[in-house]
Amino acid sequence: MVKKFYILFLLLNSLILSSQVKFDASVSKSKLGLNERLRVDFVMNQNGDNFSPPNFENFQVIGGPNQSIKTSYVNGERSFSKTYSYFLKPLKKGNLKITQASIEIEGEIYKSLPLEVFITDSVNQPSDSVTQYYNDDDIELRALVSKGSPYLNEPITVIYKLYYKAPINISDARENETPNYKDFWSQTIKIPQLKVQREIYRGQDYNVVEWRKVVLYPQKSGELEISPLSLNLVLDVPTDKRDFFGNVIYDQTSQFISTGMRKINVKDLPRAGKPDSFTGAVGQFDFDVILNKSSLRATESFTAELKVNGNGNLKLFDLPNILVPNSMELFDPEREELINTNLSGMNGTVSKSFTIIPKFQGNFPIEEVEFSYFDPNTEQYKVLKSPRLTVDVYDGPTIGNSISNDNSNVITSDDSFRFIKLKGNLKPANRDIFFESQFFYILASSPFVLSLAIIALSAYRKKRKQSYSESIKAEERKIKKMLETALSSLGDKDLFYDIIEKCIISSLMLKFSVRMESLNKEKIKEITQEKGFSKETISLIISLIENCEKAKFSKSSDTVMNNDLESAKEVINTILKS
Amino acid sequence: MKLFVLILVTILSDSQDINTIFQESNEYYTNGKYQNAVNGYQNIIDLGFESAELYFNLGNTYYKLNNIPESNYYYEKAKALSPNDKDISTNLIFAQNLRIDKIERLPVTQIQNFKLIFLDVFTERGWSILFIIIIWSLCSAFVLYLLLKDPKFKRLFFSLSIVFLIFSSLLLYLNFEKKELNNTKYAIIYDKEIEVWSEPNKISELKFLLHEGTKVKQIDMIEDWVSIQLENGTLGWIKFSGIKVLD
Repeated sequence: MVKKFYILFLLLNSLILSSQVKFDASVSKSKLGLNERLRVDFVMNQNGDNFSPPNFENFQVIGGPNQSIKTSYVNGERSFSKTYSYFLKPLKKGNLKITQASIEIEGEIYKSLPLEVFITDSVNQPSDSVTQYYNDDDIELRALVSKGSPYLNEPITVIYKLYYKAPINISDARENETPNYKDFWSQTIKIPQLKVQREIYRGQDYNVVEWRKVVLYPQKSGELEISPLSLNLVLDVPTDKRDFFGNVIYDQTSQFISTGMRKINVKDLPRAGKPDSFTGAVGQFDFDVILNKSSLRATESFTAELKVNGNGNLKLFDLPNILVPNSMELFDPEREELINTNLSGMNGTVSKSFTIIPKFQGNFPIEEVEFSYFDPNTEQYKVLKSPRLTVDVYDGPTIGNSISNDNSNVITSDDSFRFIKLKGNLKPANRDIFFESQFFYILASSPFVLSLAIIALSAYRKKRKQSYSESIKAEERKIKKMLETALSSLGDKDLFYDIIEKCIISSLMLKFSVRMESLNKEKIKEITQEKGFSKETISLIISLIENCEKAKFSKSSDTVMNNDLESAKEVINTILKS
Repeated sequence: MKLFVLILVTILSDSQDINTIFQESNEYYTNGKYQNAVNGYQNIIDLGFESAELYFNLGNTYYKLNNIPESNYYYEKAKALSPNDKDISTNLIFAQNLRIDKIERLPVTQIQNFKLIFLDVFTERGWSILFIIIIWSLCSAFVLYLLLKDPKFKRLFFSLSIVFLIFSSLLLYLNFEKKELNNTKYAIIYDKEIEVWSEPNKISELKFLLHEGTKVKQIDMIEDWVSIQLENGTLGWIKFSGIKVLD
């Protein structure tokens, strides 16, 4: 008996504590389309009987009543709620009324407040799901683009994020449509595990999953499109049903969700100040040329490595080429890339190694190599130059290349680079050409003139000499003729000796060019001695002249005269022949 | 007379000066101060003096400074003044080995080659002087043949004058050839890289690129364009500003 009272007391106590009875009606939406569904909940906080629903005028009851009871104890306080849910389909547009429902609790009858619902035109995408306990706003797929108007080849990132809000859970997601990045160089960054993070979006707490991350390098200027990413989601949506243990049963429903087309306006690189060596590198770089040997034997090989280090479109441009002297053999380069791609773009090192074999000895400079890039941060072109390097090649032939004017192209290998000359031999620079100059013509023509002059002179002299000897010959002939006349005048003694004397004197005059006045015996003696006549001839001449003088005063015989004639002939002949 | 003495004195003092500059520059060279040496040598050239040795030393200095076009230029100048110097031709080959362009030379016949070497035996002045000597010998031999009466001598001088006549005509031909050779102007490319076009304008076809130090034959000129021929026979037009003519 005491026990019964005790229980009663407890019951009463609890009744007193929870004496505040509530009975409310609520709708899931106060505004909905004609083709949408509406849920109406009638919630009470104490158990009641004889629930009579409203008659749902202008609505069609699709589901319900579903009854659910929740009991919980918080700090020893028991809370209780019992819900009757109906799923309704509106039959009419406009303001519809849900009338009162009633319940009997502890003998008293409670009534809910009437509700008003506004029914609009049909909405475009009615959710097929019968059990749509969530709003369309509760789930969204967004493509976040880091920069809307990048430069050509400037990296941009696109992050695809899936936003969803309680009570939705996602049990599966499949990519339905993969975006294709036409006109972009793209690299997807791997996400090892999808992670759910909390984020405040539009002022509300959302669960966020990063679905996909992509780095893009636009390869074309102008307006480029990124096609959408679409996901097919399997959602877990809570229903009103509860299982045996009172847990909410989740319903699975599939949903198609997509990002829109995204447009990106790609700016072309500025034309102003574009260096000649620009090959399309955009970013921030360092540049260097490294030789692995700076001194080596001819026919050994060395490598020259052009290295670009930094952030930017490393995979997308070509490195400059190296120029080496023609006497070195240059092999095709090898390209090596060590690039990490992360959200900020590519970073790392690209190198191009050339194998070079020098053939001849000498000290060879390797031309400085120019590398230029565009820095999108400062919006300027930058030019980097490698230092001028030299390679010392020893121990090899110094074969001249084929251009050399020297016919002996091959020089023996001991011919090394020659030292400077110590003697200057400096002369005033003279550009005059001697050949065909005035001086040259004078020098070249003067011998001809000179020899002509010599020839002319000698010819003249010869002619003169000839004419002289001809006159002498005429004289001689005259003298001989005279001697002939002397023979005919043998009888006339005076005339005979006269002729002989004349002949001798004129022949002397002819030969020795002396005057008649100065001719006496002494003089004749002198001259003839000078001319080297023999003594007999001289005495003969003298005796003949004496005979001539004597004969003028004395008589002489014919024989003497004949004798004299013969000796005169002889004397004249010797004189003329001398 | 006074003026003449004055000029003589200035020339003498000048030559004293330039010789000391030359020696100084040589010292700079041996001590590795190549830029100073270049300044000294250039100073001598500016004063109006030259010699194969000066150009050779300048070429050497530029070679040490890794200046490809300048060293090629001055070695070529030295070679023009002294074609047979072995030092010059050796170092010229060293300088040519630094050039980037590799141009195959057109094959030259043995006769042409021989002629070129033969013409290089003397300078242009040397050939002219030789020609004049031969002309004088020819005339004197002929005059002697005419004047002498002894038939033995007469025969000797007659054959001598015939020989001299042949020689002199040959030398005259060589002189003209040498003149032709000297008149063909060569130039060294000074620009690091120069475009060779098929016509003297930039609308025409770009044929190829040449690099510093390459020697080209200058054929013609229009405004600031020069028509060139490479040693492999290729023709083209380049901007005059990119070359330095060897004169």
